[in-house]
Order: sequence, then structure tokens, then C-alpha cells
Amino acid sequence: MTKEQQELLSAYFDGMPVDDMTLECLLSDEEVMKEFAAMSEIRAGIRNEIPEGVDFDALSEAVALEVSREPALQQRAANDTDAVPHDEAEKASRKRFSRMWHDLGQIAVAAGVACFCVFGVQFWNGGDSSSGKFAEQSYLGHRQRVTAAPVTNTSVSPVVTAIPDGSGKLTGSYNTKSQYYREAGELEKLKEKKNRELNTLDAILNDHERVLRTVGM
Amino acid sequence: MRTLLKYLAVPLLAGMSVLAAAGDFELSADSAGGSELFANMQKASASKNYELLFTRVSAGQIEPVSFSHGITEAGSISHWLFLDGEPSGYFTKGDLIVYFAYGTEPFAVRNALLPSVFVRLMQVPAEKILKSYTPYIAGEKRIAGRLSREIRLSAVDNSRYSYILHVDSKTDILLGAEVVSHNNNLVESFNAVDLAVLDTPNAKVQNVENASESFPVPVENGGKPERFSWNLQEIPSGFEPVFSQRYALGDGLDMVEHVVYSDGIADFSVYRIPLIGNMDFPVVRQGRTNLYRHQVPPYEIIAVGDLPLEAEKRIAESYRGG
Repeated sequence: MTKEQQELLSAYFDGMPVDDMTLECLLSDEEVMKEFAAMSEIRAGIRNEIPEGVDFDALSEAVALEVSREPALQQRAANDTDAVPHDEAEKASRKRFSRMWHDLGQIAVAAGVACFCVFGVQFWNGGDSSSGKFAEQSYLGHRQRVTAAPVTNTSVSPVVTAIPDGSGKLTGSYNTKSQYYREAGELEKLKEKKNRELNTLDAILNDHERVLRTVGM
Repeated sequence: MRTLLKYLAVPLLAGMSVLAAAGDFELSADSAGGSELFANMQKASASKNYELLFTRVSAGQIEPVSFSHGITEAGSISHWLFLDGEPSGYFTKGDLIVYFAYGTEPFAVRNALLPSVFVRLMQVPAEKILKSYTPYIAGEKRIAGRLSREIRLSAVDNSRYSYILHVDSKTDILLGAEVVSHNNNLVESFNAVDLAVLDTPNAKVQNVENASESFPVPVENGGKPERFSWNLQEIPSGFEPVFSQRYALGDGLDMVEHVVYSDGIADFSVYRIPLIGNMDFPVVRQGRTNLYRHQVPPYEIIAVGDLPLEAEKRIAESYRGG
């Protein structure tokens, strides 16, 4: 996927207007289509818009069952449940794993949100802002669309460190929520600054046109 | 020795004949023929009744336009109408320009710069234009089903764009134009679709003639120029200051100091404003209009107009302020 495609896709998910033809061209690329699908899922998760057909409980059960069939885990389960019948041990194991996967699902959504914020911040903040270089930015047409700078320096530090211990509780640091709000606040500030910048530039361009209409020869 | 001279003489003579041919080419494409054709185009475009339909392609947008011109008892009238979306455009009658747009009050101004480069090419006096551009006849082309001759208005330096004009062979009316950078990249184009040469002015021109009494009162243009404590060391030759004012940029925004320069075809503004603070968008490109930002704390110098970005950079960075 090219940088330009990535920028357009990110612009689209940031709510910037992308015309239908551009979007159609963009989605004709298989790699972009996959990225689009992944970002759509993340967005749906953030907005609590996951389709009704998706049954998380059934999914967790199925995954848990597959995991429980792993030989190492079966051995551990056998040691733990020497005194109880096999069916009960399997049920308990399923329940535990089911809960674990349910928790992991929540973590995954939280991580998605956090990653989205980090990438979002970096996307908005990207590009060479030195005045001596011409960044690949354009401010297109009748002020209807701004294409932001390409993403640079995309090192992402892990946001969530969580270790399931099998009991359904998490150990380790789990700072997604506070980090999410902190980053969301920073993102808001960045957006505000950027909007102020764009509004001023827009005002300058409009003023230039307005004044030219009245300037004498 | 004689053989050696023979070997030297042959390429020398060949080189001389190539240079002579190049000299002939220069003469055949000289500016005299170009100037004459350009003058004829301006005369024809301002003295005939016609309607030209064309598209303006700029910054990835295509806008269909109808341009009408007519000679009436009240004088020469031209009428520019954007054909897509809600009707908007302007018309000129003598030294008056009236802007109109659906849903808004029209406004009028006298002796002001013409709003479109396409119309400027037809109506700005040739002697003013030819100070900064040299006309060459560049060939022939079929445009809108008609044979046209090409004039290249070459900018005298790289600080401005050049123009390729397509002039109808039969009537000398301007059919289309292209704005190109110094390395011949297309920046904006006006592409004729149809030209109708008429015996009498068309309805649009007649409407303007009949509505003369209801024109809005012209606004003051420009105001008295102000002097600032700063200057720009590098203004490209041929550009003259036409505006210089200090005012507030919109409601609640800071005071700005603004100067405008024009060479008759292209204009640019230079603003001195308080630092914006963010520099995520150091440049803006919008068709042939560019914007370049240069920070000189506590100010920001913004050059914006119909110039290549490199020229705007030079201008903005030549700021010397107090």
C-alpha cells in the first residue's frame, strides 16, 4: 500500500470528505481493501456498532475449546482436577477459558482504541513542518479538501500489558482507559490547533480573493 | 597537415550551418509576429459579438463557463457565467464590474482588476502585458472544431507562469488558454467547446444593457495605500504595488498588514500576521494559486497568489522588518 493510499484511507476514517471516485479507485486495491475492512471493524468496535450477527460468547467458547485441546493444557487440567470427574473438569476449564477470552476480547477493543489514538495523533502530527521544504500537502479545489502530510516516524510503544492468569483476572499494568482519555485529550488539542491553522489559512485565501475584486488597476 | 585541416573544416562548417538554421528559426518565431497576432486577438475579442463555451480546469476541478461579448449602443459588454450549480459570475460594462451570485446581493466596483486571467489576456492593454511576457507564434492546433494559431506568452523570468493562447484562425477571437510553469507543466487550462460568432449581441449581453439602471452602487476600491515599517527586498520585475492596507482579518481575528502586487496578468499578496503557532501546512497549492508561509517571530509572512511556489518563497524570505 502506498503512502498516498494510506493517507487517503486515514483521511476517510478521520471524517475528511473523500469523493466517491477516489474511494472507488482506492478500494480496487486488494491490500487497501483489507486495511479498510480492518479499520472499519475497529471503528465499529469503538462506536459500539458491531453487527448483531456476531456472537462473542459462541466465538469465545469455540476458541476456548480449541485451546483446551492443546496437549500441554490438557496435562495441566488433568493435574488440577485429579479429584473431580473429567466432564466437570472440562466444563470448569471451558468456563475459565471462556471468561479469559471474553476479557481478552475487551482488551483487544481497548487496545484497538488506543492504537487508533496513537496512529491518529501521529498521522495528524506527521510531515516535515520546516518552512524551508515543500511538504506534499495540498489544499485542493474550492477549499473543500485538505490532504495531510505523510506519516513519518511511526514508532508505537505498547499501550496495554496484560497477562491472563487463568482465573479471569488480569495481572500486570492495564492503563488503557486513562491512557485513552489522556491521548484523546491531546488529540483534541492537536485537532483544535490544526483547525485554527486551517481556518486562518482559509481566511487568508478568501481575503486575498476578496481584496483582488476591489483593487484598482 | 592539409588532411587535418580538412577534417577540422568539415565539422566546423556543419556546425556553422546548424547555428545559421537556428538563427533562422529564432527569426521565424520572433516576437514581432507574436505581438501582431496578440494585438489582433485583443482587438477581435473586444470588437465582435460572440459567445464562447469553455471549461476551466483547475486543481482537479472542471467548471463549464459561458463567456459572452457584445457591442451595444452603451458600449462593450462582457458576461461571464458559471454553468454548473447555482448561477454566479460577473459582467463588465465599460470600467464597471458587477459580481453576482444566486442568493446574495450583487456588488459593483469601478476600475478594478479583472477577475479572470482569461479575460485579462483579452482586455488588459498589450503594452502592459508585453513588459513581462514575450509573445511567440508556436504553431497551429484544432480547437473546438476550428483551426487555431498558438501564441506562447513566455514569462521574462521564472517568477511567474507562462501562457499558451489559442487564437481562432478565422476570427482572431481567443478560443482557449493554458497556464504553464517554466518547465512546461500544465497548471490551469481554459478549453473551448464551442464558439458562436453572432451578428448581434446575445440575450445575456442585451439583459445587461437593459438592466443598466438597476446596477448596484460601486464600492470604493482599495482605499488610500498605507506605509508599513517593513519591506520586501525581492519583488519580481514588472510587478507593481496596487494595494496596501492594515485591517482585521475577519471577526475576532488579528490585525494584518497586506500588500498586493500585479503585473497585469498575475497578482500576489503578501500578508504580515502574528504567528499562527502551528506549521503543519507550510504551503498550500490550489491550481495556479499558491500560498507560502515564512516565520519571522513574532510575525509570519505569507505570500499568496498566482505565482510559482519557488517565487513566493523568495519573496516571503526577502522580508526585512521593523
